[in-house]
Amino acid sequence: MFNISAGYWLRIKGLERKKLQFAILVIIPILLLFLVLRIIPVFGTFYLSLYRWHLIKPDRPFIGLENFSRIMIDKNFRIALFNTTNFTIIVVSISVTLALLLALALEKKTRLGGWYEFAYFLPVVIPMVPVSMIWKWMYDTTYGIINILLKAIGLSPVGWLTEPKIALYSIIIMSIWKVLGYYMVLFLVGLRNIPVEYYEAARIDGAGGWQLFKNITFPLLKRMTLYICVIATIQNYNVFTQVYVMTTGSQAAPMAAVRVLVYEIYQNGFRYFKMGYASAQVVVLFAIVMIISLIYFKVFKIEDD
Amino acid sequence: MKKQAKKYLRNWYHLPLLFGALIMLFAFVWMFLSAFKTEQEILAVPPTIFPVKPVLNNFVQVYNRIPIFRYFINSGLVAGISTIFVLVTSAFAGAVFAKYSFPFKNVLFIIILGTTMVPFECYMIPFYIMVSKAGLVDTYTGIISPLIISSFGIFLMRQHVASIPDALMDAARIDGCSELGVFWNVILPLSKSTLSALAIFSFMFGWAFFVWPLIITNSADHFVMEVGLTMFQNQYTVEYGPLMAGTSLSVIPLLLVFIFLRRNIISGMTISGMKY
Amino acid sequence: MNKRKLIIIFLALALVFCLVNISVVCAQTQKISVWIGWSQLLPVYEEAAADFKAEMGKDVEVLAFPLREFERKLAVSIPSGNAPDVFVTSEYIIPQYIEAGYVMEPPKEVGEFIKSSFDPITLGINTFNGKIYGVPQIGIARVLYWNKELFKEAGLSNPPKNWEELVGYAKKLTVYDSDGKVVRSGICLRKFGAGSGVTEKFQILLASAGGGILKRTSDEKWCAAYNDEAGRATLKLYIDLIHKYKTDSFDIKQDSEAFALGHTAMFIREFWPIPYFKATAPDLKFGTTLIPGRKDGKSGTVYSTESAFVPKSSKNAEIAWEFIIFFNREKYVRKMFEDIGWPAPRIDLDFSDIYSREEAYAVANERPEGYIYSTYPPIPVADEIWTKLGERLEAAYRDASLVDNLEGIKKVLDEAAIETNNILGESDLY
Repeated sequence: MFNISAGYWLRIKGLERKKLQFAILVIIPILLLFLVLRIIPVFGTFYLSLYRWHLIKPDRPFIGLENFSRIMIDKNFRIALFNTTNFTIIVVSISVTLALLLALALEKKTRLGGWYEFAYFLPVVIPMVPVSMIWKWMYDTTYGIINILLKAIGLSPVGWLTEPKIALYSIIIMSIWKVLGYYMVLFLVGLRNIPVEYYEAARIDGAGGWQLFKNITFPLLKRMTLYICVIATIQNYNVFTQVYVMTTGSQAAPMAAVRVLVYEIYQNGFRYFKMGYASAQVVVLFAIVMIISLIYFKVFKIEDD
Repeated sequence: MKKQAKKYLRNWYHLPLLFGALIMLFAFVWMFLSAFKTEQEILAVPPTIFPVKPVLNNFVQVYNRIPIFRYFINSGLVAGISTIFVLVTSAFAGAVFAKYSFPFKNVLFIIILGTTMVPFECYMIPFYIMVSKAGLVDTYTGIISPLIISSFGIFLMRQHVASIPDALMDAARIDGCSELGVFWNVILPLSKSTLSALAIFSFMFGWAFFVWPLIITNSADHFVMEVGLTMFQNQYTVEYGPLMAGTSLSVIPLLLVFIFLRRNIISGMTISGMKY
Repeated sequence: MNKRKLIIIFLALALVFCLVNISVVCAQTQKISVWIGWSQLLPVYEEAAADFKAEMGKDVEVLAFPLREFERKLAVSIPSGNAPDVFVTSEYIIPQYIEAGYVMEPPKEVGEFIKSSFDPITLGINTFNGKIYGVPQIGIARVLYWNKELFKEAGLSNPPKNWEELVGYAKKLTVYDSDGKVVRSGICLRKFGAGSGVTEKFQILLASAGGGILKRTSDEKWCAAYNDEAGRATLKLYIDLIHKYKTDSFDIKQDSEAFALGHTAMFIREFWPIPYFKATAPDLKFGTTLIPGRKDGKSGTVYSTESAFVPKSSKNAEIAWEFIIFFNREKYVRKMFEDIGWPAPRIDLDFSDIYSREEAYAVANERPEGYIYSTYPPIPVADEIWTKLGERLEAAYRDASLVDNLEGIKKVLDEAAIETNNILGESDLY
């Protein structure tokens, strides 16, 4: 693959050598930062999964893969896995599709378009904790604004957060609302980076709207789409804050219905103090997300990857 | 007649677009308006949308109870400095991953991307221990440390730079540019919109960062805005008035950053690399 | 944009950074840090800190954090040596820190103050291995709230004294709409939300029936105790109130918000709703009373405390203990009690004027004969047991098929007990 023997170094001249130098000079410091700030702590957590550790007490016996075998029979973990996967599939597919449609609609640089972009991006800007509180409030069964509007048009109120079967979907709706603008902006960036000459040339050749999209827009948007799908999947598998806020307190959703993976990990690690076990769950979460991402890369096979 | 119909067809999406925008705005508008209501009115049933008698009391409370300017500055520092670091590291690393080859390139990229698949909360404890051993607890460096690199940023830049035609880079090289020159003169100008988007997201993320600053700061001087606002969230009740007021204020810098940087995102691109 | 400009910007940033960090280092005057997990207590502590500075000339910084994050912060800060000088936490969180050797024993004068100022029950639950480590700040026994006006409307003049009256009154107090749905619940029980809270409220009624969640089987061992007859009766009470007599509902507002709006006539809570009602529903006429027992004469409730501790790693321990004694002065204790609704279990102070101004506080420090004070056990798996039991109870409360179904109720509790004992077993506590 890559021959880095001393002979090679001496043999490559000029441009190739300059390029390699530049690349290495850039990558090494950044890699070091990654090593210290990400790789070491993350592997520290992976390493912890082989132990039993109470977090406050210093003793830490090695128990090998026992944590993992316990995960297999942990009913709560299975529920969390199911809920989180369900959540991610729905949020990613709906929000990415809607974001693409939005971006296409707003692509023309009209005045009004600017205001729309602002409006759709606004939810992204408000931090998740206040957003979750506001939505929890709006979802209130008797006095939340959503049910009041439903009653006003003659429909019966819905137990958005209190009804176990619906609770997860209520959180899904809110999550889509929050993240739509984020993917929209990314798609807009992707769209606007497509050189305008391509469209002009195609129009001269007589291509219409759909053909333009199919042959120019969509293929050239692949890179951005891959990016959005991957980060959307990662971010949504890691869903936590909104579930946490909406299920605490006495006006909240029933726990089992909205159990998600990171909440499980948080409970096991910080409430039950089973750090080793929680770390093992982190490993499983990581493995799942990694596999899905690799699948994405395969599906979106791009020539120079 | 047909022309009219065609016009309506082309603009059919305006209605759902508007409807969607209103839904997006609704929660924000309510939050903002609630900042001007009394606590009793906020909890009143049925709820009102516009404050019956607008009061400034919530803002006064926020001002009196938490050192809001200090927290603003802290949040700004954290968000701003981390954004700069993220932009620099992501631009360089993204460009290199996209356009250069070096040993283990793919493996390294997978590792970089992989580390982001684990949410920060999950490895926060080993991270804290590391920061503590380095003596950086309760320092700005300590607070910012998790934020200075971003796999998402590197990934984004890589995707973008990959679409820059090699011919442009080679042209610069022929003109006598060093690799750094190519980066500076070709890649960066063409990446303005992507970098602006990254800057917006980075800043937002740094501003909303809440759990880590809470854990790592031990003196009120170092609290960021989000941590300060938890003052209004009690275990059993929430003081919605001041919380909404504080959050509304807190959102303003983010909106400003968005408006300011949006200019760079809206312009389109031509093949020759010229903006229009 | 040329290279020089970039370098200048970079240097400027680096300079700002250094200045900011230096200012941090310079500000390290001798001050003690106090951490609490309840932001509503902050005003009182801050006032005490200001007075302390005025009187003793020493700086105190009080920081409040949301409770769950606070517990996390303690869990990472104390073992790594970044602990504050004083922290306030509950008697069920501190045992693991004591066991791991992080908590300092109080000096002699403080110890004597503790022994002479607090009631035996409070002292009892704060004693570990025969020693008391912290100075109790608050002690809260949960009580029953009743809406005097709604009671009068229904022809009732006193709160219920036992379970029979509780059920009967709840039936009289519930109001339905034309579809038969509950519009105002007779009593609002804690039916869902944040696992351990659900169990805690169950524990209250369980205690009023003479039962408990766990019982000690030996010095080091515990086992589930809630699947006994008292436990079954308690679950039956819940099911009867929710499903059989329909005096409570999942679809209306809950808890203190509901009580403030007059949407429920009774509910069970600590004392913080009292100032909350003063602020949000000043016209509400309500009273508090001891939890009605299953049978006349015997009852119980859940009791928990928060105490101030000093970690061994504190470099200002002397000042820390001084400050703790300082803010246990009558002035601040009264403020916490009356203004914020957090009673202090002091036997050396007279709160009768507080009781006369706000009758609802009067039961706070009553310790009647035969009244059980059920607490969280000082074992690390308590939270896990409480949370997982809470989830099972949540499901059971929704199950209308448990009406008059003693077999079903027994099954729910027995299965839960198996899980509880397993959790205990995993930590060698069974």
